[in-house]
Amino acid sequence: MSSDAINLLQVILYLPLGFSILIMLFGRLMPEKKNMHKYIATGVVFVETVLTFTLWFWKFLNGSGEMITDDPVTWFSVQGQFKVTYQIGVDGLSMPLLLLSMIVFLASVVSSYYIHDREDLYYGLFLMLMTGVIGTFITLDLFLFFIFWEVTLVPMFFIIAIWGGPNKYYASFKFFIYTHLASLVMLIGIFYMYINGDGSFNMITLRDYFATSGISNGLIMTIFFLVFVGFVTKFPQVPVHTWLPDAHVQAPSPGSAILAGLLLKMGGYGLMRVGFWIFMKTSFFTSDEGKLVRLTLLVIAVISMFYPALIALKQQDLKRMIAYSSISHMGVVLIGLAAFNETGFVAAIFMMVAHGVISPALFLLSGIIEHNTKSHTRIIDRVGGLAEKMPYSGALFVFMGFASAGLPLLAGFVAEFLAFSSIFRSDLFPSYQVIIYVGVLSIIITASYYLWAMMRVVFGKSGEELEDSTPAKWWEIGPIYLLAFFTLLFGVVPGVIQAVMNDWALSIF
Amino acid sequence: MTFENTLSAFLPVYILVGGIVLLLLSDVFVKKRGVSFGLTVVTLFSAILGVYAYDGALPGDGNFFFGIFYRNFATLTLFASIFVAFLIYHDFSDDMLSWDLGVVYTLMLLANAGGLLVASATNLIPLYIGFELMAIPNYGMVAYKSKERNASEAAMKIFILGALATSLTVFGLSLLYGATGSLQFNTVVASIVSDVTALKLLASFMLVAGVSFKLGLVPFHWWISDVYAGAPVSIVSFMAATTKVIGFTFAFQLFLKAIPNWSDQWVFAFTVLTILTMIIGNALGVLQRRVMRIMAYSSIAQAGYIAVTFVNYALVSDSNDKSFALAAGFIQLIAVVLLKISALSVVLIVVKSYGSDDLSNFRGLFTSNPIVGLSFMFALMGLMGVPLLGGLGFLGKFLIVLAAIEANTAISWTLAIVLITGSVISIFYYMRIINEVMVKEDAPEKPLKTSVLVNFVLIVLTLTNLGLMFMGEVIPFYKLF
Repeated sequence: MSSDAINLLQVILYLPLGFSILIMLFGRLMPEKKNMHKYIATGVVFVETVLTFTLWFWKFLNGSGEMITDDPVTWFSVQGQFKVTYQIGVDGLSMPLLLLSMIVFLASVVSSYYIHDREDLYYGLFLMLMTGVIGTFITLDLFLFFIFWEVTLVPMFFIIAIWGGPNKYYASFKFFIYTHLASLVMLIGIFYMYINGDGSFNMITLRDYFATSGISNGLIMTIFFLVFVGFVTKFPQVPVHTWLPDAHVQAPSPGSAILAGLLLKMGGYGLMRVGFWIFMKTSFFTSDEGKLVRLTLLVIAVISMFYPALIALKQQDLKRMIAYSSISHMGVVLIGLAAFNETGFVAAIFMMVAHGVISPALFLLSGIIEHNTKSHTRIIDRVGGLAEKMPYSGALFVFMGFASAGLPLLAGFVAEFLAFSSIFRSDLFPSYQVIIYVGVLSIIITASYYLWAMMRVVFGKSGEELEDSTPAKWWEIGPIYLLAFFTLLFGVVPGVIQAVMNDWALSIF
Repeated sequence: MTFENTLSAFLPVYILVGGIVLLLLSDVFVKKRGVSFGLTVVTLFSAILGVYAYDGALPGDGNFFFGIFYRNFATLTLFASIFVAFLIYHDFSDDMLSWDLGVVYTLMLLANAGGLLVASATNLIPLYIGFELMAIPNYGMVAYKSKERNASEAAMKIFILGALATSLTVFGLSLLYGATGSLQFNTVVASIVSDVTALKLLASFMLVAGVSFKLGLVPFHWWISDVYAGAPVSIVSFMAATTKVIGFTFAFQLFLKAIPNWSDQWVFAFTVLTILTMIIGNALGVLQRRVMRIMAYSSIAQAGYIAVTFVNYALVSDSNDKSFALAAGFIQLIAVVLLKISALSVVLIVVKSYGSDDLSNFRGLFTSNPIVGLSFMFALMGLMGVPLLGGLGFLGKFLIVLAAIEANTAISWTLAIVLITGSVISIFYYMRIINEVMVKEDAPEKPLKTSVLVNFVLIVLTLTNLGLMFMGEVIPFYKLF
């Protein structure tokens, strides 16, 4: 089929891995020129971004969310039975997330310039992480998906454990064990799919097979819950969210940005691709069992929107507050999925993209604050007067804070609006409207903790912490401008990225 | 059974014996370490080639069969020993011990000859003789640094418990003979003894206990951690690789080829033992502070993963599924050989440089020597079962779980879940070591003493482990049996 696009995709997937190995093996040979590693890594990410946008303008600008893929190639097989195929492809679900990956990676690689400790290892791991994330978004075989999914764990573990804050070991181990355990549960789900499928791990084959094989609803429910455990832990939602605040707080700011911007989206993407998309051709989700599943999602989503928002209200650490707000925002994605209509799915993807550009910016801003305060603190009460001492950072903080709180004309609002309008139109609405109203209420809390934090950090009385602050350097503030640009773009002209999502959502319902 | 047939069938054994004679002669007349080393490696290499000299059974004889099972296991045994020979060369380099090199190599070749017999036997007598031929040199090798207290203790422990295990096995074998009246596998399989369940049960239990001692399944695992901590590191790598392969060859031959029909009697025992091994082995690993002890418990746990194969094999009825189950176990065995030797060679380098295997000595390994540090990390990730970075270590476990799930019974689902739980527990101790390796602060200041040979072993094993995972179509994994 369109093998040129696939070749381009292969380059996008493996270029970072190749440079990752090169930097890790030979990076130490050039210690004299200290800047080499970061410029190589930035170059790679930049080339990746250009390639991805090329792919976007070439294949997706017309608003078609159709799957672009090649024929599967057998990787290894077991007498035609245990078949692992190699197949990659993009469609209206993965392409927006691929674009998002590039934006977030570009922002975080530039804002990593403050790291001077063991740069070769850092940028090597960074690029390896990049391959893991891209691979998760574009593979169409469950075995490969699982491999790439797990590959992201290892570099992230080291990024937290080596360049993290004071409590880094605890946080990195907690992160690793939570997500690894969850993905092994997901693996059992994948096995379940394999033994009930036609002896293949290929997602497209499985999707077609389940459509015709008359797989029972109870079985789909079991599979769905098994994979759901894996995805919801990465996602994360209450009650498996406890690793996230620790990991975010202890990780270095670029690490937090990737964690919030992309690793959480992997959970959402996986749920949509493996949990929903594969079974979309069956009538499961409109059956009674399917309704039960969606009701569970709705309840989890509402609890996860409401409860972490309340916790965020009383947080002292800026990063911790943003981390809890992330959990709260990801609940919106689940609301969209629970609604189970076109609008809901578009809302889910859009929320992931919107949150993916907004929350990294907030994490990077809190990194700037941490680097510029005297005692390197992020405690909200001690940092005050950002507007006075660092006006540009202060302005951006207000901008991104409002975006996260869901101000109209910014990306977050579009997603939340779509999500709630979808749930009001779904078949769950009449009977469970009370639950939904609770979810809507949580937006007020979100707005209040952001406003309160902004009031203290940006406009508060300037204390002694920021006395010696210097204006943020270009590589500190530049990435945030980039993210702010996309926040505004997706808010004012959502159509640029929403068209493919719409087309994709229409094609699967 | 003509002379030519016998010669080509037993060619690798003859090569090993010839190598032993040459080694002993060179020990007397040449007295050069390099010569002993070269002779050993060449002998093992030619023995691998010799394995492929003959195919099928000897005419008019039912005691040996040189099929695909024999070739796979014999090749793996000899292959592991080649790398162990490299490590022994590095380990026995002190002035006090350097003249022992030839003797240790002799013992190692002898053990390999035993391994070849085990892999080819289709009769309980050569099977047992081969197994003992492997075990007795092993005791000698463990006892080699007899001046050290820990080494003597380790040797004593492995000898006494090994003798106990042997006697249990022999007892089981004699009961087996009593029940079936035959020693050849095919007549044992064919004989119907359904009315003497108690006898079968007793024989199975004796055999399971004896084999579990050798493989180190919980609760017969106590000796392993002491032996690992006391014996020279290179000898431990021999035990973790070659001996482990031969042990599993013996067990597969015995349970899967000789008495598969008795599976009702031994499946339950193996289920309980593997569950205990995977949980307790991993849990005890978390408590350890010395790396050799962590390695010991990791060995125990890995043996537990592979032992799931027995249950998988017994619970599926289709012959394709059976050979898939066996292939899965074999792939994990390859992975354990590759990963354990490369992990232990790093431990060897550290012990040689700093004198102890305390966890703090591994600090900063990644910075001080990237080849060593990186291959150590890859080895540990393989043992942990991390996808992609763990290479074959992940694939092996994946296939074992898959084989269990294909059996689709309550027992095999339990085993699959326990295997996954066990490998989650194992993250704690593997990641602890990996973390030490990556940390830069407070690293030991003395430089690391490594050698070209050990670096060669590390690079070859790491690349093999990572590469084999992508060779799915080149090496048809499923057609191993």
